[in-house]
Amino acid sequence: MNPGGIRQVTLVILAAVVTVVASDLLLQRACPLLPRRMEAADGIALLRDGDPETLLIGSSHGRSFVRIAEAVARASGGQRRLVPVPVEYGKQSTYEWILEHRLRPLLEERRPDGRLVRSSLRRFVLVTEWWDGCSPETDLAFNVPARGWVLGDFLADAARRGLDAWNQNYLDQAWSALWRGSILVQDRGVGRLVDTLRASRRRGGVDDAAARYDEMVATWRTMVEAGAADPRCHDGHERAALERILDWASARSLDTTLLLFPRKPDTLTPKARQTTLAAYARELEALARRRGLRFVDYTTSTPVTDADFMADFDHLNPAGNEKFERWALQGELRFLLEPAGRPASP
Amino acid sequence: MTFQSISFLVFFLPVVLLLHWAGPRRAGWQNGLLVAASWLFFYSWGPQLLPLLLAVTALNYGAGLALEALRGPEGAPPDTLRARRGRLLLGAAVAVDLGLLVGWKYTGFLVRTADAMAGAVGLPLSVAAPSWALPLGISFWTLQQVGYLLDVHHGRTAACRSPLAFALFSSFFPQIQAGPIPRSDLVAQLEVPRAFTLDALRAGAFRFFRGFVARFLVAAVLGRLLVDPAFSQAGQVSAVRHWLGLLGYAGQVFCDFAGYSEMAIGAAMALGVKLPENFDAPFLATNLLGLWRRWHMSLTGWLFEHVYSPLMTGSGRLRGRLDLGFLLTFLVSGLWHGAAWTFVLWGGLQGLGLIVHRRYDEAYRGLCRTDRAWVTRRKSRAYLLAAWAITQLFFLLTLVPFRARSFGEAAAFAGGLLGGGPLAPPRLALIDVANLLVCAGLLLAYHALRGRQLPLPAVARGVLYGLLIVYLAVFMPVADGTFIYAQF
Repeated sequence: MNPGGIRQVTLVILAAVVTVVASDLLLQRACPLLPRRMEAADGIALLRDGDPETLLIGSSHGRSFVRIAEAVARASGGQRRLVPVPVEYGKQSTYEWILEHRLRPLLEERRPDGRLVRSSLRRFVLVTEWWDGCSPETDLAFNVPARGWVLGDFLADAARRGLDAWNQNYLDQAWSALWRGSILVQDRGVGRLVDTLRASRRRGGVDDAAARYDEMVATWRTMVEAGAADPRCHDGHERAALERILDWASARSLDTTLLLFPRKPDTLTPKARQTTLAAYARELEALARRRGLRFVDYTTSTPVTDADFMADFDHLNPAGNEKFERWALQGELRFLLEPAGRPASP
Repeated sequence: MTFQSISFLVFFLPVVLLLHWAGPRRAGWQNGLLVAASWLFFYSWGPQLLPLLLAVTALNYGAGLALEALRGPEGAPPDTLRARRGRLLLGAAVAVDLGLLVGWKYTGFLVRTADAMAGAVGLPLSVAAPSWALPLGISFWTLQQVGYLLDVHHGRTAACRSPLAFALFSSFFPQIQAGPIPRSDLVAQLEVPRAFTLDALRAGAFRFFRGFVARFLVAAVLGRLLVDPAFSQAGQVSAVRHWLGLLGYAGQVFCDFAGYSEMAIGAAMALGVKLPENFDAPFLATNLLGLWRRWHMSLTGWLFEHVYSPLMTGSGRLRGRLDLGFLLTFLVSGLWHGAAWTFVLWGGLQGLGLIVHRRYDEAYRGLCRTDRAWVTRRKSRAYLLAAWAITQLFFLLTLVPFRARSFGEAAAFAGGLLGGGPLAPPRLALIDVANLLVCAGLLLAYHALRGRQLPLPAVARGVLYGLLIVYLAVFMPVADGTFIYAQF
């Protein structure tokens, strides 16, 4: 091997690496990395390491309950623990998969003498919204490989069906997790960097921001209104998954709550409220009544305002989470602060 | 598993390279590893179709050996029983190979055509056209294996003895998806152990990277910003936008396929295997024949060797009828590119263009024989510039039916080129314009450098690559986009 050639190659690689790292750091000054968010794996780890009284499953909205979990722990001197498992891009079938494959093995783990390792679970909260009831395009949404799988799941699926865009979500997510400190990796598919570059080149920023706000509002309104007529929201696939989740909770005699998460008021037209949202709320309320569950509809009934939502129009910002936590724990979620009864049918 | 995916870039390719060069330098080990990797790659696109590839490989391996056995000594009379059996076997094996291609790729097209024809005379068949998943790269590996059988039959190459080497020849992962279509001499490369050289690894990495930029950045950006908006509103947007869309499409289809070919050649090179070149700056060509010697060279070479030559030369049925040969060859090329009449039209136009070029060339040569001033004139800049403009304009215009999904869309787009909707500039943000300029610059550099690296010191080259990686990370679309040639 030619030593001069090796030196040249090494120099090229080093210079390229230094350039990429330096550029990454420079770009982070223009577009800082977002703080790390709680993922399903973090909730699963909390369950593995603890013995909570309340298990909460939800989509990314489940992250709003991290503050509530902290408040519950604080108020009870650490006696009562709530573990939220937020699954990005949630669907009922996703929640079921996570419950079946990740949570139940932990919840049903037994000691040699037959007693449960984690025996404190008394309550179950499912945080949901209308969109969770609409089937994904594939049997399971892509967040299952991305947020729910471990290596064994990926290998088994790849061996069975080959590699496809769906199961490669596992690899993409694993790769992204390796480079948490890099904006270039973390921004792939997100587009904040390009948006920042665009924004820095725009004139008349205020008008433009208003125009983008209106555009987002229009998109959301259309999407929510369309939910009423979308056949994927009424094919029964996700509803069946929800029933199976509730069957499990019922078999464990858990005090179960179905909670509809707040929506940004500006994104909801009267038509959307009367159709998509009302239909889903009616469906879940009837289900809760039939099964004897607690039903909490926060879709439009909380004090959070448009300003309490993040720029994605979907999630509460830190101030919104704080407001929501205080209000909810003084109201319908107050029961979380109180001791749960013995396991019994609700 | 696409070349853009994390699974290929971060896991598959590095692991294969590492195992290939860390293992024993024996053809058996190298071929065994690459066959396993290639089958895994094929499997990743659809497990249910792997048995088809294995069956075709086994068939052609056996057919190759049998054809060699039946070939007899050189100069043996062609009408012996053995020779007749050889021809029969060749016909049968080629029929199976082409039959699979036709069955998989063209059944739907044939059914739709028959239905339309029957409907036109008032007897609609009402048969649903099947829509089957195409086996990965079937158009490419069918031609490759048919070429091998023809070469063995005609004694141009020896049959491959090693089943492992032949399996690798049939399924080599860098090129199985979309070529380049290697000639049968690739088998000889695979039958001997490959030696590691840093130069080959470096050159392979460079070509892979260059192809990656062309395929996943330039082609994607041109497609998203210029091509898709123009073709989706054919006849409705201004003529300028039609022309920009068509120019963008020429760049897109070139970068899409030349980029893929570069990646395939680069990955193979890093594994010690030399694949044939597939593109050689076709936008510099000054005549249509020259363009086809620079565009998808491995397919053009295959067609001229196995379709045109047998028809035109020796005892070929069309001996001396060169024009008809061009037309037939490019009609086959058009049909190979896609199971649609728009592709047939495109192939026909290329054939007609070549006929015009050949006749013109013949006439011009006649002028040259009478007066040498015509030779000098032909070498002048003005002549070359005019020849270049006419050639490229013709090629550009024939891309309309190539891109359009129907004759109606092609006609609407062609009409739009002459004067479409109201004149309005494309709605592009400044950053999109910058992106287009960068992509145009890369396309020009691609043609200007023609495979050479920039004469820069190592550190400067590293910085340039680093900046390109950053640019890719920010601007390269996340989705794979449309790989135009994968559809063929």
